[in-house]
Amino acid sequence: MTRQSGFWSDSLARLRRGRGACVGVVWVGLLLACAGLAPWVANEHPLRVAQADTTWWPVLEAYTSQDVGWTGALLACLTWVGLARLGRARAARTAALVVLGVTAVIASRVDPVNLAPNDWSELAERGGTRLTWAPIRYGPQEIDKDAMLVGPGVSGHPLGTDANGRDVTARLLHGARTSLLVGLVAAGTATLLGLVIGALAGWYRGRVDALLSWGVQVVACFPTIVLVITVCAFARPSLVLVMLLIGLTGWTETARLVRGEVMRLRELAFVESARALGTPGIRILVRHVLPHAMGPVTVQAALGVAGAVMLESALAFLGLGPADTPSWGRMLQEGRDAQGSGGHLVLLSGLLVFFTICAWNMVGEALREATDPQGEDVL
Amino acid sequence: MTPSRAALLQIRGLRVVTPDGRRLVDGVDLTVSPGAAVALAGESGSGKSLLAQAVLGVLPKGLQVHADRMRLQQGESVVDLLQAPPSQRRSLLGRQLGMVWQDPLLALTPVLTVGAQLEEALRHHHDLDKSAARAEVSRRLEQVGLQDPRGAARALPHELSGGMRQRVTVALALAGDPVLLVADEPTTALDATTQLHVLRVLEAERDRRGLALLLISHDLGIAAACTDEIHVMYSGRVVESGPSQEVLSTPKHPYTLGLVYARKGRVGRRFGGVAGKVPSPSDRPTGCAFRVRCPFEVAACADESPDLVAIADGHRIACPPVSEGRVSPTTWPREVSS
Repeated sequence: MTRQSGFWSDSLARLRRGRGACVGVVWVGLLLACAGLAPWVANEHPLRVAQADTTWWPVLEAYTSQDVGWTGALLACLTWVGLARLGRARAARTAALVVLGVTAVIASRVDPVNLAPNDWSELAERGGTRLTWAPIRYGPQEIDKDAMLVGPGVSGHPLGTDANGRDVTARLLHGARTSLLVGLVAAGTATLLGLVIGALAGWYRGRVDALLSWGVQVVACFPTIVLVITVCAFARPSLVLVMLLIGLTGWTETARLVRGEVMRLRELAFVESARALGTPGIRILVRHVLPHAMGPVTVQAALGVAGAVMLESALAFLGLGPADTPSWGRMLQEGRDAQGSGGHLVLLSGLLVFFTICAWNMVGEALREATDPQGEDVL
Repeated sequence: MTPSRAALLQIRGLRVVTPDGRRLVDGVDLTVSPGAAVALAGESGSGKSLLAQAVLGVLPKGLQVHADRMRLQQGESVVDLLQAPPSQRRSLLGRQLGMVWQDPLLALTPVLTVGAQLEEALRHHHDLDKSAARAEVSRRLEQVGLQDPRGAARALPHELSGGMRQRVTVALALAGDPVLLVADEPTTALDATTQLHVLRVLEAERDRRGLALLLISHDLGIAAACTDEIHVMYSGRVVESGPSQEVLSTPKHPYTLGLVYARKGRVGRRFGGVAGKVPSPSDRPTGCAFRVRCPFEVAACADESPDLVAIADGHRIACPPVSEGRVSPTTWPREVSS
């Protein structure tokens, strides 16, 4: 009597068949790879230094907790996908969680060494030392004074530089981190908030519902971008603030969805049956009712990520994002400010934003089709 | 008639009323002694399920319960179900009162394994840690006759057969070791052979723990087969009550007679059964609610709603023409059936 099929395994199987989901998931996977491998692709320090008696890895010495986090996330995803492909779903989940846990511990303890860039030229001139460099020898913040706002193809800068002489490739790679982080955290916050508020409104009905639904309408009516601009104008812009604001305004759709689902589900026989067994109401809600609503919520969350990526780019484009974090939206703005000679910046970052939003929407659409029990059965 | 002091559940004059005043259950008396098995029988719409839900306190919103008396013995003390605050009513669920539903597939949460659902109920009612609860899940599933309790515990409800599912709901209802089990059509969704298995499980539990059973069924045969006492309901009222075997073999009330003949199948060339259907509570006929379908109706039937009258020891009917000897129906006439 083994588990033959279930809602999620069926959905996942249907998801694998859909082309849209594949394209979307592959793109998101590429972004995660960019985020995790950024220091290995674009770094002002060499990856490896081989001397006569010792070999060491400056890239690792300079690893910040952010670097650790993204590399760990990438490894966790690879572990999960790899083990799941071998048919070990349970082991895959456990292993991925273990990797994430280890990552969190390392990230909290990491102490990056400040390496001075000048050392490398001295070292290189000394005999018996071999330096292995990353494909791009510039970090995202490093300024190349000899090449400001140059187009793609200049030696050392395959995709050119921006007005400050920073390498575009390096900044695009690190921009993937911002895009992923803001998208996932903001959509996650919104989903969680929507889930809780919608569930409470649908479960308790009556006055609780009236109050919460009123709140949903108020927030839904609010022009999000104006609110965010206002807050960003007063507070010091930071990534956390941007994520929080997008999350705190984007939950209304999820809340409506969950409220409706819970209202429908709470009338079903198994809820009455659980009640007659003496199960406390809140536990019926969380354990028996909410799992049924998770299909549409997942779809909404994926679409929410697309929205959050869009909003983050828009804010950065308006100059309201944090100044020190590489972001595609900001690069778009910098390209526009540079007028005629910033075409490569505008094109590259614009395309990345476009494709990323498309990818998340495709994932959402594919999820919608895959989780729709009334949909065509591809299996 | 003085109710015995030891009665587990004692109900006098129970009415379930809609907001616009329709009486869905209209004055029912019911006594269940500890360890007794009592059946409520009748067609759909006779109010038997509402009666059960009123006892458990899980009636749909809007329906009101009125009664002269509604008491449940809880250990040494007596709980007045009419006066008890909602929190006390809820605390009775599972621990004093268990419920088995008609359709086990609808009564089980589709997304949780049956083991998880049973474990949740066990941990809620008993102070068990996780591993103890796991072991108890297997034990309980075995108790209700599942061959492979460990395998079954890992299965989702839709992966089990109908009979296995109903065994699981019985195990769930018994998780809190209730003293009274209310089974609402527990075998209706099952085929004939599995019906028997589930009834055997209920019987075994009665023998083992002295559980009292309130069995609700539209099938007189099943109701009579595993109970000592039967109450036949029609349109919100009890029309006949008495020892199960006696009522089944010598039904006195015309309605019970019709049900018994419906069970026997064909009468001559036609199928047996009571023509028409249970009237809606809003347009009940005056007097006896059954008279419009009754082949033995006399003029006096329209006058007043009849009360239960004893015709033999413990056997009561609500039909004055019969109890007063004016008519004595023994077979159901075939021209009435259709």
